[in-house]
Amino acid sequence: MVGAVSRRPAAITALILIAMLLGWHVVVAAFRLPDFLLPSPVAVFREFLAWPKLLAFHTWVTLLESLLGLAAAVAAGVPLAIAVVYSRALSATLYPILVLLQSVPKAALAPLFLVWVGIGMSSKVLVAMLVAFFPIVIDTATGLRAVEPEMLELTRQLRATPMQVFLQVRLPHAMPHFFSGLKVAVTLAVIGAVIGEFVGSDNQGLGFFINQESAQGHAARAFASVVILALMGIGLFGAVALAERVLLPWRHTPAGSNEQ
Amino acid sequence: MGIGSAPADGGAIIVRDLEKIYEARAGDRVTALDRISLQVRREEFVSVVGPSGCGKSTLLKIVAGLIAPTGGEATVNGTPVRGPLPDIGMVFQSPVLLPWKTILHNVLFPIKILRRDVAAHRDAAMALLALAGLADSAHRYPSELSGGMQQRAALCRALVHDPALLLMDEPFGALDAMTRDDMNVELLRIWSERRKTVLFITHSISEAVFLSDTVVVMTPRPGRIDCIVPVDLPRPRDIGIKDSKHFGELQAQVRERIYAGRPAGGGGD
Repeated sequence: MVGAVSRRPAAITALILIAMLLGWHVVVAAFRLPDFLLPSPVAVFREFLAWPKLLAFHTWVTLLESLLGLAAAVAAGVPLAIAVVYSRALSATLYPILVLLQSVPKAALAPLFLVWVGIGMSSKVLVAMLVAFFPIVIDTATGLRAVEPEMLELTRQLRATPMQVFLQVRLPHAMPHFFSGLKVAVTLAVIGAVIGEFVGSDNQGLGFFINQESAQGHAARAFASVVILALMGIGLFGAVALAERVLLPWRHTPAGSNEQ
Repeated sequence: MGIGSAPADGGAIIVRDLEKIYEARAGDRVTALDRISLQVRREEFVSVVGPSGCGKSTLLKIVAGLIAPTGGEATVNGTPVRGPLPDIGMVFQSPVLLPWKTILHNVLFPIKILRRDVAAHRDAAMALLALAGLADSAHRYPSELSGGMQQRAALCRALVHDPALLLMDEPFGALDAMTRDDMNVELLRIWSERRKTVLFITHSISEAVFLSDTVVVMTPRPGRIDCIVPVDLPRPRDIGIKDSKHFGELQAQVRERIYAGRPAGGGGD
């Protein structure tokens, strides 16, 4: 029953996508648009066949920067979230600052990072980390705080130690929130890495490649890179969603469609 | 059971001149409990009924050692309450089960927190679940169970470490009327197998009369005990007893006292 309901919209989505690609192709062909303005989808596809190794190399660089940035964001963000939740002083002082900083356009800092840490990979990892950091801190802190007051009363009643409450109640409670933050963060990390590459790079990464190729009129190659970035974002999001399913099986029990 | 400044000893719960005043902002003082005294015998089932704001939940939390009174004293099994007592089982209005643990491991949660041998208590937990009609659900997650089943699991969790006292704070308040009746019958059946001293907080007069040996009626602002109604209905009781004349009389007696303590046409519930 579920399959029949969900299969039809999926088929319609696929049809719309095919129609859009066809429309794109028809427009390019009908108006005889030059390749440097708007390449046809066929021309874009040809780039994948023509430059597999080159595209794979730049893809690998951007992927690595994104993942390193994400890992750094988790390594810094989760302990900070714990500190903010457990310290009344930090919660009152640091947390409002975090919320304020969240609204700073992090991408605008990319040129400064270039000055501070140089043109190499670290400036891209830094931008990726910075944009991925906030959803992880804020969502993890929200999750750690989301424990019902009655559950905390129960643990007090049983004279649980603070470590027991943390490990057996708060931390597992925060996991679904952490994963929601991670899903947002992983997509942002890719964007952060690309922005870092746009601003200046040592000639590697998809952001650099898009910049260089579009400047030289190779729009099809730039488009191919954009397609790869989109697939990378979707793939990483899917990987996090899969990890959540495997690590938190109780979230996906048959009747467990509540919450979220 | 009795009101008075000098209750006889031997009670499982003795509450003497208990007072709780909350300091609100700007020096406002709210008297949640105004010199309350009562005594609950061992294995007695006592319900406290009254409208919202009469301090009945405050009373329960003081007995549990979760909050400190501003005056007077609560004694549980001869020991003055100075802090949280693990020898108490708690059931709240919501089941508050841990969603990532199966029902069995939720029931075993107090054992784990108390650092007792979890494996050794497994059979006891399973026996409790069987008693509550949840044997088939032991390895399911809470989200797979109905609200009534979740609350029965919460009751098993409260009983798993075999506490002397069971404190229940409007445990069936969130359930629909029919499930609530079922849960009342279930609770009495489980209680008849695992006799505990029970302090049961509720809004429902009918529930209080059906379950209890004694009903304590409280009135709000300030929270006071208005009267104590002994319930002499024979046990075991089934739901049909609610249609009896005597049940109706007891219910009317409690209701009359609750409404007597309220201003005419007053709001609130």
